[in-house]
Amino acid sequence: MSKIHSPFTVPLWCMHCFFNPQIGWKVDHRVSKRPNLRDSSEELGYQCDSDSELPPHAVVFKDAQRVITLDEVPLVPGETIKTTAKDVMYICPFTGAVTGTLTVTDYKLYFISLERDPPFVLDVNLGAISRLETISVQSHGENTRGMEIVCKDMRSPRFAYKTEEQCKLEIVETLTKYAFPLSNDLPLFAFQYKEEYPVDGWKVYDPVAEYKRQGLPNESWTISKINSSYEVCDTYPALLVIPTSIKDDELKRVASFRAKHRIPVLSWIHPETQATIVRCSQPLVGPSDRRCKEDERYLQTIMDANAQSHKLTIFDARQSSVADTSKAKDGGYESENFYTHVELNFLDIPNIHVMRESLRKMKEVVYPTIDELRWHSAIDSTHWLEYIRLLLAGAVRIADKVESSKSSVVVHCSDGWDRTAQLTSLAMLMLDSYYRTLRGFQVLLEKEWISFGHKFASRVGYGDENHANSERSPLFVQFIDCVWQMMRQFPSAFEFNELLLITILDHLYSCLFGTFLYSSEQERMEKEVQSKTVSLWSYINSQPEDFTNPFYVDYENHVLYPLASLRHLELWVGYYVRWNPRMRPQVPVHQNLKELLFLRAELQKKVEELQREASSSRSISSSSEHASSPSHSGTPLHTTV
Amino acid sequence: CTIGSAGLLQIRHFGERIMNQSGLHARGRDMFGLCCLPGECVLQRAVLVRKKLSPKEGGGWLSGTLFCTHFRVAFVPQDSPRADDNADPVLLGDHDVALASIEKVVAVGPSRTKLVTPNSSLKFTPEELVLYCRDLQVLCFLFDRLTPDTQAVEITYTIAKTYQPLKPGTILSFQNAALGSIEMKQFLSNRRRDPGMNWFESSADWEQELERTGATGWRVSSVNDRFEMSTSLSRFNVVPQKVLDTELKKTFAHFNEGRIPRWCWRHPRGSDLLRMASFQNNIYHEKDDIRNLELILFGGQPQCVVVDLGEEMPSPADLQLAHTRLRALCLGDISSSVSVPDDKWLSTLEGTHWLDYIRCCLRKAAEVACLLRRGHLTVVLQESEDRDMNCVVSSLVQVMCDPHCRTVAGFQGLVQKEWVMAGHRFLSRINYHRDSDKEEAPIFLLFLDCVWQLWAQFPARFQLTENYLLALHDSLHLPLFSTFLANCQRERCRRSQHLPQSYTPVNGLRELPRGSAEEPVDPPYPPYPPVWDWSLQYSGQRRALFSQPVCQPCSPVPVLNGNLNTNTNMEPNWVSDGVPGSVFLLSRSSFSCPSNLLPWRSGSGSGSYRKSHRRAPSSESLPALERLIKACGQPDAPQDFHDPHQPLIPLLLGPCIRIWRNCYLRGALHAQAFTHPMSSNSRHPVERLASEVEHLRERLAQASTGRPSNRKRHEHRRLDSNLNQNANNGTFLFSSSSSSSSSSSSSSSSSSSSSSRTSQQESPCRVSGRPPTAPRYRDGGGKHTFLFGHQGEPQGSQRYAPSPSAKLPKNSGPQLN
Repeated sequence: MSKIHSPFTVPLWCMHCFFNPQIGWKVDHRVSKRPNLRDSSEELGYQCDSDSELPPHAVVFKDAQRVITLDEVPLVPGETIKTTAKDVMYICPFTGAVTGTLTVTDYKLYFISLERDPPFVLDVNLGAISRLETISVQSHGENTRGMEIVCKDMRSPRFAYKTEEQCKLEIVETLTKYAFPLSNDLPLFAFQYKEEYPVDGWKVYDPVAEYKRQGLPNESWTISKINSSYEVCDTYPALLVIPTSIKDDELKRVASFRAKHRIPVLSWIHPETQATIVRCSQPLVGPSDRRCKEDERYLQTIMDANAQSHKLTIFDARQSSVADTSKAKDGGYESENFYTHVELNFLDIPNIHVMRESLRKMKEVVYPTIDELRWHSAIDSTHWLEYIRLLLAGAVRIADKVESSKSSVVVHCSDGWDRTAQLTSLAMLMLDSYYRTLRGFQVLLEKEWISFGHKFASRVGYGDENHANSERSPLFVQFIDCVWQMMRQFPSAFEFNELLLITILDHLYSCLFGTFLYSSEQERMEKEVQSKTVSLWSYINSQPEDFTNPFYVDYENHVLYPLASLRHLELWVGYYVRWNPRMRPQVPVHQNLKELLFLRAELQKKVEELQREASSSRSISSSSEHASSPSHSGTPLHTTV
Repeated sequence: CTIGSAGLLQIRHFGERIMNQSGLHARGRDMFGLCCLPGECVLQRAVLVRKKLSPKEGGGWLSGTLFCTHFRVAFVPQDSPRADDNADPVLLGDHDVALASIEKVVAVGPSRTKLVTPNSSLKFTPEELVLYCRDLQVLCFLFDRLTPDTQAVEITYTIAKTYQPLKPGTILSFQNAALGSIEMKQFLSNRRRDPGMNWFESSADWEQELERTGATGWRVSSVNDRFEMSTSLSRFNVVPQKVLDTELKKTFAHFNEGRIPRWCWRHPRGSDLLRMASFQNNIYHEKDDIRNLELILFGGQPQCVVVDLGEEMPSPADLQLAHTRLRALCLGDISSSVSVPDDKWLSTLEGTHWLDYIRCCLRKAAEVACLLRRGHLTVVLQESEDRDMNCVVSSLVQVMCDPHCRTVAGFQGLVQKEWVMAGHRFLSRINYHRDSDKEEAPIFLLFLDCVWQLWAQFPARFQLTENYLLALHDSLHLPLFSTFLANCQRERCRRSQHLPQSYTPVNGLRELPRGSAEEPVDPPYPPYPPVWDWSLQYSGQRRALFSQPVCQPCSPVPVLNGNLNTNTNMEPNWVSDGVPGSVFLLSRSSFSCPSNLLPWRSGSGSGSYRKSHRRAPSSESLPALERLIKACGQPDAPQDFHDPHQPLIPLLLGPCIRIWRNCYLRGALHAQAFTHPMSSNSRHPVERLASEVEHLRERLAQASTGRPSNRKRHEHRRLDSNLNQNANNGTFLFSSSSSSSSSSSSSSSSSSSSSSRTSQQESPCRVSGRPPTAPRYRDGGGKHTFLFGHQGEPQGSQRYAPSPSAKLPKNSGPQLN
């Protein structure tokens, strides 16, 4: 009862939102996010509950509603308007140019035009901006300047404005300043965001609890505090699961033999077979084929911890040629000659630069216009799906090795924070149904990606204007795409829905939450992220029903093996092509389902009520039953036109 | 071990022996655990076989026994429940495939694979048997080490020998094996036809359709009752009331094959959809003829748009080529090893052009649908023969616009009307007998794929399901159904009149002249059932997956008969704008009025006719029409998701037209066989949920009979109107007491839902909304078509006529405080 809110009693934290593609599509501003209160309330209309009274926030909300009119920019708590310019033209690639007011805050760019009915709104998080470019817009008149806002989320809105007035020149300046705060000595917006959520998302991931869920520590594996001050490895978390029998000095020698000191540590253990997924970075073999006895013994110990198999399988995510090249650069891979009972496999996945280039090509294909007749071959030429296939196929091999061959596996690439994270987390998603729940998926991301030091800061490039930085790469997007592919092949195996994936990706860039900021646990501790910013999971877990897959069936002990063939993969149109209004989904099925669920609850209640009433009235008098005319003997729900 | 022709002979003997045995036990239908059809005989079996299940079936392997009979390859899983002896025969079990559907038999040995043909010999014992089917299924059976080698070899041979490529002779023996036994004939002749659907066989059927759509000004003509006017048209045709039969007779000569313009469907806004063949050239147009021709074309409407399907649409040959390529691409079979590399998959798919053709059909149909919404015109589809693309487009338009056509019964009626009765040449296009290779073209498959595209984009608006479309797709490859075994109604009638009552059209076929010499005297054909007799083909369990409950009801349409123009976004002066009698041509998404569009208007002989018009057809209204067409492709086109009569205008952008994976790629799953948590046997959660809701409603009905107090009554009224109002303004708001109460407290809201809620509280009698006028669309969907209480009782509003005290529900108190 208290969970469900009537449309006008929605607490503020539900309202100021973020990108909700469903809202965006349903309402007419398809190129926009949709913070407009009226529409949001319509969207939330199905949530009304017949018996709920006005919750306390209602009053607050009514005030808010009075204040916010169409002219006003909806702000999140802590957000301030920096500049506003009237008569700016948005050159919409889909519906033509439209003139309106452009506002820049420290969190977003907000454009509204009342020329159209309903008003046209465009809303871009500053965090999603990759670069700003001046473009030529001579066709729109003299003294007109153009600006293209190239975004990380597959769109590039263009604006045109007159140069006469000073305030309009300011727009670009302000935009640059707040879109790239770190380059301008400003804090990231996440540190200013002041929303309060009923749930604290920072409590979602507790490594000890997660390892305990996996049955750790046990006799072979221990939770070690050796890295508690990040001395062994500064990009690893404080708590690591390592073989019990390894001594600290041995461990340190292993660390010096592994790139960036990222030693092999346990990610996941099979509850029955004790086969494990272990992740690390490449060994520093070098051109002279260096050996490290401790490292060899370490892997032997990992193998011995699993009594079911006398083999250890190493998956090197790279192409073997690339691995050879890195050997020349002091990196390398485990030699089967030195590591006994080890089987080495290369998964042939290209590096981050290839992925970045692939997504860049993809953007050209999907935005702004789509070539109908060449669509499929254009998608083929980006190779994006091919790389998705490689990742999924690799993860399937890992999962199958663990599940069917009951063998422990070691996964690494070069540094063990990109492709390794992709592969281990995908394999874990296939093997362990817990990670397919809403809560479990958050744990998976917190663990395999955030705590194990995927370099979010440089891969995303938060607040940094150097858009050409070669460290940037959409590896996390690629991983989420793989999850989406799995979700599509196993529609009822995941507790969360597509909206969760899109929301995660939106806030990967938005800088609203602290979840993905910085590159390692150590850095986050230093910057006090947990106390100074809000977690994305606070937002998500405060309204879990929006992110829940109603088709979910808990297949507890099922291992999912997605078909990793291009015939069975599909472009994630709902994410990559979502800005194109011609792509909006025709029927919001998930909504129909929610409505069904609601109707069921409603009817259930009615039935109970009536039964109660019928039984009591029958006992009171039978004559009154006859009094009821046959006209309404039918089911009341049927008798409408 | 090698088995040569001698071995084959042995097998043959063995088979015959079994056959004789089964002859003795005509009644004992259960053979080695296989539930046989009457007269069906098992030729060979292999034990301890495992069948690979598709992911949809739950994946993994299923062990059981494999059979080959004269009719099918059957697989009986271990521990499958014993079939009920009294149950009606089902042609194919859940794991079976008909011999006629098999296209290739491939044996996989330890080190090699081999395509097995009737004449080939096997030099190894197969470990795996793969059957490639014409309907794009691929069945894969694995022999166990414990399967006797002879069984594995012999069943492979038997299947290879009996399936045979399609030829007239083999088809007939297949048909006889399936349906030819005395018991089967008897059984079929006692079969009742599905009364829930419209078969469009009698004149009453057509009248029913006229009534359902609310079409006035049209009548059913039986002038072609004996197929004398046109051999390919059906016996009954709908023409304007004003044209008498004697006048009508003269018009047939003006059209190719005598296929005159005929009424197909009326849009709720009052426009009519017609179809016709191309005009017959070099014919003299008498003045009277011209009057009638125009009457037929305009059907009482002021304007007429001819939609030429000739040039833009793919030709049958194009389609055949595209489909052949698509099949090769999707099946990627073991034996020929020409499968396309994975990284070229999308480009190769694009290269087949199949998806382009689908887009083309959908676009054309969407244009016509948009045109029809305008009202006050007839849209006439024209194709030179009126037997291919006209079928596709006219039926697609109706699927888009008419919710009834998205129910199973309605869809079957639609196929009867626009394909079977309209004379689509199923027999030649499918080419069962392999005697019309040049004519072969997957026109009907194209249509099914188009419907699937619509289904995939609007799943909640269809009562029929993908499973149903798949079943229909697969049935097309079984040469057993009268529906597909003829090129026109005339052929079907001739055949069936020789048979005892079975499936004979209701009235009077025996009046047909018996004179013609070509008629076969005693046809050897078994009685063909219509494809719609699904219980003959599929088990109840599988049929249950054919339909799903729909949220948006197939409720009565406010039929306007063209008298009311509710279409406010259109220019109001449309009717006066256009000149009565204007004819436009729609071609390549633009309109024109070429002078030779109607041959009688352009010819010199018809000059007198032209004079009779006050003005020549003007092009004034062209822009208006064009805007109409453009609107259908515009992203800004107002889309109200919740109006049940909003046509389903599909998105046609590249990513939106997709390959029908569950059909074409069913067989391409052999790369990986892993367990899969989905199971087809369990119903979809949505369906489960919907039936739960339905069940609850029933219980509610029981509980609510005999509610004593007046108070209760109001409360239910409120619930009704809430739901009802939801239907009117779209969303299923399920607004209930507290939401409405809180909404009225914050009455400043401009939300449409809350305002209508308020009005509803003020005048409860208004809520029932739609005027209870007009003939209703027959709700043929059976028990699943309603969900949210829109069963459509126009009297509903009177039933709950408000009593004086009904102004405000008593328990809606909170907002008064």
